[in-house]
Amino acid sequence: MKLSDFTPTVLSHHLKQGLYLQTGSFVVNIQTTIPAAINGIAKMYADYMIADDRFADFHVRLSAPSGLRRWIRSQVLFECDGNLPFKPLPYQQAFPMLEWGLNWCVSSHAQSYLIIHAAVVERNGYAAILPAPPGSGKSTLCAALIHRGWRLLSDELTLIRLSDGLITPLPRPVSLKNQSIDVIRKYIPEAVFSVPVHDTIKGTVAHLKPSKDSVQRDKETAKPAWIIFPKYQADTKLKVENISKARAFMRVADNAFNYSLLGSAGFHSLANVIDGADSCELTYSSLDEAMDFFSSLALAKI
Amino acid sequence: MEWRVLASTASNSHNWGDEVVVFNALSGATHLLDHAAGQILEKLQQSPGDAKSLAAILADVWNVQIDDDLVRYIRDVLISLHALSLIERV
Repeated sequence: MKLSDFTPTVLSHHLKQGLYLQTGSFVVNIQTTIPAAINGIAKMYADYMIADDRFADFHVRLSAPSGLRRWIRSQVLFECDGNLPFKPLPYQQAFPMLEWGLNWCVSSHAQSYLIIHAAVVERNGYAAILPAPPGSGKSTLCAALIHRGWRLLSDELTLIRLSDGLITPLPRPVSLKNQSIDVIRKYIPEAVFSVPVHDTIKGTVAHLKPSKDSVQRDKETAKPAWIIFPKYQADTKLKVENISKARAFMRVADNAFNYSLLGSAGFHSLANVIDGADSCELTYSSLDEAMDFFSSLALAKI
Repeated sequence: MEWRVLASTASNSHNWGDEVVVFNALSGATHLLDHAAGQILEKLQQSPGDAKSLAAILADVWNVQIDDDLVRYIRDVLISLHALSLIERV
């Protein structure tokens, strides 16, 4: 059963009790009565499967704090397994907070993976990992790619399974910020967005709904084939510079959440990924040029 | 002065030709070494040694003369590797 099979009233009822949702390899139990969060979930997670209600990897709750904060400058709290890992945010930021909170749940707990802060997309079984700091255009590029034949594995968390080095999908909504929202609205007119939320710590934030295909194929792993460090630079021609494997290793390790925590297992896992992947830095300003570059990568693997 | 590779470093290195990446399981730090430093570490993994004995082995590999400059260079690299807690005195 999919989330979209619920009527709005039934969905609200389930979310009040705690809804078991399958997101990639994880089952999350989400409990909330906050309308902004419910609307975001209904729109962004419509194609996700409802999971068996006997187990959840994470139990999360979005709620309004008690006391005056419920009424004056109201706020939202994110709770995970009974803990409050974050300070409250303004009430209208409930849906972005859910997304950030779910990322935190996975990156803090899923230690059977080497977790890289990177977008990752797949074509013909091969994955392109896009590690990059905020502002590099990673999510913009990811959003464009998933509407040009690439499958979304994740926009934020690349999960490299320690047991076999394959990438486990975690397809969840793509987080876009500020100008990127309009760039993607123009580039992909059919894209479905959540309601933009202003004045967050990241500026204006909106989420892009993943394709049905990405959600349905959330158990299909992919082999890491490319590590591409994107860099958006206005008014430049596309530029591709190869990076040595050792330097790529250091940069990816810098972008990993749990590399040091995993010790030797993390080191060897990343070394194997780097061994099997080509690494480069991609400077771009035109999405069309960037799409052509990615198509050429995919074609070379056929 | 003889040196050997720390147990926390042994078998935690990956050589990509021009550069070597080494992980110190004790500190959790990862280091990027140049080719020469990587080779010195590799030789120490095979057996402990000092600057002179390493110079004798590596002069052949690097196709250079064994002289005071080479021994001094290797000694400097050994001190750097020690500062990174990758090797220890025997």
